[in-house]
Amino acid sequence: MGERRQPVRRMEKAMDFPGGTLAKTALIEMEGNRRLVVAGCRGVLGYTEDCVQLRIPEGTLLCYGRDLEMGCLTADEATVVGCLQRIEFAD
Amino acid sequence: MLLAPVFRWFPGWVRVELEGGYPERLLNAMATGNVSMWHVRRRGEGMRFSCYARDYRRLRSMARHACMRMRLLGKHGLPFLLHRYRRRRVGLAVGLAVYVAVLALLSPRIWAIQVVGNTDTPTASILEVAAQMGVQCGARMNRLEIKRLEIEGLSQLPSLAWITVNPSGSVARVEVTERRPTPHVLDLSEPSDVVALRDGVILSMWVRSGNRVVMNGEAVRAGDLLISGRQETDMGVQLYRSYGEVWAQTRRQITVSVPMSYTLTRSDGKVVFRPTLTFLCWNIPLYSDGALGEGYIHTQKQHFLQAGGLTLPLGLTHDYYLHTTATKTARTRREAERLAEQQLAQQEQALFGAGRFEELSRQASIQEGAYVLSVSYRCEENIAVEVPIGKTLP
Repeated sequence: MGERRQPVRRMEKAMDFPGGTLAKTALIEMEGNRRLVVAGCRGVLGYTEDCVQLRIPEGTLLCYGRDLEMGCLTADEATVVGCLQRIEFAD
Repeated sequence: MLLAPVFRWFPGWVRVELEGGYPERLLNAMATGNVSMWHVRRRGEGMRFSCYARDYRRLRSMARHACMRMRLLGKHGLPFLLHRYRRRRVGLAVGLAVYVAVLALLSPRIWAIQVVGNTDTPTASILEVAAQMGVQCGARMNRLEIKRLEIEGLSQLPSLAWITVNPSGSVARVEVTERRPTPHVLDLSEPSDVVALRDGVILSMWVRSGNRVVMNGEAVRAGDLLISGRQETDMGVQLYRSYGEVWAQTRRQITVSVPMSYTLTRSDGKVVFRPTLTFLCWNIPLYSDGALGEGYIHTQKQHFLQAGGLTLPLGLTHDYYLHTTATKTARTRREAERLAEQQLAQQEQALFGAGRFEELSRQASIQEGAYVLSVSYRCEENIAVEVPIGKTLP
């Protein structure tokens, strides 16, 4: 999704605001490779022990690893706990 | 992380296992439906997670929409605990009421008394005076008359300079400060003479005030003037207080008498045991037999609970009454001699103390059923005694 088609994001960038202030975007926080907190998560697309697929405003977030566990899941936040090996973004 | 389980325990939570269907659909439905979940774990085709017990009913319809079979793995928390003991509701209520009552009844009372700050004054005498003022185990802490104790306690214990009670929880801390002895100051306003306490020959004199009347080597009798407080001057007779030490050689005699027969009290092995349970100020006897006759020797052992160096007012007092029989027994002469020597040594120590003494003669005989030992001594002792002018030895 190009930035030209998102005026709110352009305004956020022009006013030098932190990401997520005006536009809807996912804020991802990691604690080493043990814990991943995704604020702005819109749902779970897939969930196995090796891969968790989360829907975020930017598309899909894929978390790969071992013994993955959903620590907590609410309407706009998800926590993935386990041995994280890789994360990927997909449209 | 430690607090979360506590907060979840009060409303209660369940552990659930789901199989088949679309787990992601269920998770999204729960997230949008504000159903909190944690420890979500995938196991092959199934999934396990925990959620609050109140959300469990809603979970059923969500699982049905996601085509999943749901199984309850465990129930945890306060609501399930209370449910388990629902038939003991009365007992729990009574227990809670008793707990509150005991707490309300006993917490404002004195459980232990601690005496702090005394070195020479016995703790027992301080506790006795404190008990007279109401500071005793079982008394209510808020009814202590601390001001009264501070005033009347000092009058009853003259060795103390200060006494007070500091309540500390259920411990009454009796804090005392002992009086420091003031140095002895001689009262020079009252004139006096120094006279001889007993007959003797003067060896040396140490006159600190007054006029020396006798010389070394002079023999004196009891009551003779040794140091005079009278001084002849041009203005007339002036009176002083006289004092000093007069060491003289004296003769003393000690006689000890040991009866040749005595009453021997011997145990016949019969012991009466009487335990008493003590709680605060109440003593509950744990025996039912009546009064004991004569011929018993009483010993007591106390077993009280201790905590942090304090004796708690809960324990057992064991009273042992040992039955004895008295028999008339005769002493041999050797036994009587040994006993007489022991008594003589004690009397020598009490009579002469630090003074020097030398044994002159001893005489032993049996008179009227008793072994009598009589010993004469030559001693060196201070025979000076101060009497007001114009008065004689009492």
